Amino acid sequence: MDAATPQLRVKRLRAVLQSVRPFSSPKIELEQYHTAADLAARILLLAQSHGDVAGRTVVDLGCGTAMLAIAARACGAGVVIGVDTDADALADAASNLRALEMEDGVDLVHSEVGSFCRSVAKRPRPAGVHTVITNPPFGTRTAGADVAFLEAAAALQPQVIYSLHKTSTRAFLLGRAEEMGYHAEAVAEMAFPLPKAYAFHRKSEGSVAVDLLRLTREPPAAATAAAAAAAGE
Amino acid sequence: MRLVTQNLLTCQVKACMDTAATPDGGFLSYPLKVVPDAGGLKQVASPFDEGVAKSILPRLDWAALRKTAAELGVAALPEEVPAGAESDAGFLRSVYALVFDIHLEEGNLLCPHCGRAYPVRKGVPNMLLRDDEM
Repeated sequence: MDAATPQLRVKRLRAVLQSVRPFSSPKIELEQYHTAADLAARILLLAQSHGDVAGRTVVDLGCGTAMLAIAARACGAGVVIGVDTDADALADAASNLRALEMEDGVDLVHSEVGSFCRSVAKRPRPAGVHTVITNPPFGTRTAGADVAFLEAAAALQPQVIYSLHKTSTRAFLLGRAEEMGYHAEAVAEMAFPLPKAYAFHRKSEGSVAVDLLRLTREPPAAATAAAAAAAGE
Repeated sequence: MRLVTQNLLTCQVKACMDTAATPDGGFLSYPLKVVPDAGGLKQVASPFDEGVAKSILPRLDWAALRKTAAELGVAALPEEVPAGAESDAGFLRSVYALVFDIHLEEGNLLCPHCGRAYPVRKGVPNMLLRDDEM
């Protein structure tokens, strides 16, 4: 970690992430919304402040254009794997990785997310994935899609999961996380910008209130608030 | 895709997974066999990171990595991780190069249990199942 101020670190990472191109053919049924560079930068720097990125094995579930995977790699993650079920999104991801000369540092896997996590978890030894970072579907098109992603993430048994969800679902998801054997808390509230990616959107630009949930196998440390402050928000 | 990722992947076919566990703790559908097309392996030297090498070592399934390395003919690994390996820079470098520098670009991953082939194109393994495999 360099000595730059938190604000400067956000700015630098955001500058890298702003070159990540959005979905070339977004699919509404998969709720493929582009994660904004600013949001991705803040998420990864927050995770970084908890020691969950640099040198770690990080899996991005439903990686889409690889925004979060790229952010993780830019923050020094040792192993980064992006998993997505959509071939078009993975082609976008590969092209983004090439443009940033990261294609040899991030692996992409074309797989249904739940099936990937459960099959990996079936191996006799635990996978040793430290961090799962995911911006799952919010479950507005397919009810339960958000919970299905969390369950898949939990099946991998990582030390920590970062997941973006609509703030309106917070109480429900915190409860579900406990049932999955994780301690969960909302570590940041953010506005998720929804650009006019789909024809049915009437307004050219809106946003939805989202929580960054952090799920840990151990009870969360009291330092969370300080860490969030260090991440620049 | 690099061997560090191949070291995680296992067959996703339901009928195969359901019959893969053996009484002695083995798992027959793992590791997936790396079968490159002609010229389908790419070697890219990545800068050695000792911290990453140390943290990855205990997380690898060593027996699976050893089997894959032997099948590919790229390295002859000892049966167990040698004692003191985490402070042996030469050993760490060789493992690091093995798991991070060999990329399967074109070819297949073959399940050693049911024989299912997962094609790898442009470095991305396609693990999607047909309906009758779920």
